[in-house]
Amino acid sequence: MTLADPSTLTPAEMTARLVAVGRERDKAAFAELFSYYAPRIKAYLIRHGAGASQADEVAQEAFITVWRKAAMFDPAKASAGTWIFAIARNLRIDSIRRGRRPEFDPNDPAFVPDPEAQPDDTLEAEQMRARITDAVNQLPPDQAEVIKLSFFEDKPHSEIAAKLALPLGTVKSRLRMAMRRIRSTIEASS
Amino acid sequence: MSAHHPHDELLVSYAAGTLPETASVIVATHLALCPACRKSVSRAECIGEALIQDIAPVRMEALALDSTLARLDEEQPSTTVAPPVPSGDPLLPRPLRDLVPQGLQALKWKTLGGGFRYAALKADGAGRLGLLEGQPGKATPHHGHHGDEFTLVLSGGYTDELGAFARGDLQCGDSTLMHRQVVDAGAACLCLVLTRGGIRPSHPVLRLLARFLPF
Repeated sequence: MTLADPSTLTPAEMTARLVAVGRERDKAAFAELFSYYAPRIKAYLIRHGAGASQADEVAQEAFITVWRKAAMFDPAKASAGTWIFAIARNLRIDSIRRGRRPEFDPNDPAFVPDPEAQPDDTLEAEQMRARITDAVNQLPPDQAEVIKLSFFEDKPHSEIAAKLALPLGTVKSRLRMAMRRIRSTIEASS
Repeated sequence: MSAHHPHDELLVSYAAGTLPETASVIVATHLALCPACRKSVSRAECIGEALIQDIAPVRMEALALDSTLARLDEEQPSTTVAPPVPSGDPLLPRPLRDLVPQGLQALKWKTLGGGFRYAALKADGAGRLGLLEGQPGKATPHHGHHGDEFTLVLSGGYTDELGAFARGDLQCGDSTLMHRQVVDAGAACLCLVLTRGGIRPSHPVLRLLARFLPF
């Protein structure tokens, strides 16, 4: 199988690969996604305390799930990377933390669906991802640090506060400021 | 559409997958009822992706791709089916309904007096998760909390010093919150409650009795 070097693919091309996996069961596209994302998922799992071989196994398992669920992927709602991240996160909770990930179910009769038209609906998932990535990269260092620790340390904010020798209130307010900043970047440009 | 929502840091922790299960259940149940917070969570998931793009990749084992490809055509395990909605109960959204598969009547309710009853569901590092039901027009004693208290209204409604709360609203209180919740007239109010540290009634006699409360 000849593959493009996946590191040269744009995020939009990654999303197109994932659509091809879902619609055409395209194994070459699957292999490209694997080559790019599996080593990153493995690194993410190791950051969360997995050993190297467990991280390898769980990353493989994540891609089995990607294959099985790809038909449900909706490129209007998420980019490939965001969708794959969510799968890796859920498997991390299952296999490394040995917990359960409670999630809402859009097919549940009690589920309240999205209202028809929303102001930033026109903002494509890919544009949204790109703007959020830019906003994250432009966060002031103190806000970026708490955001990173929130995603990469399986710890409550109280422990993150202790680690940074900061009051809990400061950690929470930095997170809120970061989210506000990200939100205003999205809204200003839409 | 709900009017009271979780704080950003709670939604970020849910998106990051770092909340204990009890806290995830209450956030995810709110999300089932709140399109606006679902949008915040999907934005926070984009942040997660942005961070994962930045991480230094760790090389997969040599045969990892081949052995994954070899497994793609394996049969899929069957997916789990949602528990049925027991007739007569208020409609509990998933994932909460998964914790109450036999319906509300099958739970072990403890009568608290004053028109309230409580059923414990689950406990972990985040606190104790349970259902609290108050009869129409009844009020809790004025009280504070030793730690965080999250209250998600599932049916009926209540009013306290901070506002009116109806189905889908999530009240996030911490140890500074002092309130007296009055159940709306007309219907009982059912809430999913996550408490850490228990409650602290303002009245000294009630404070003694609070030691015997199940949460």
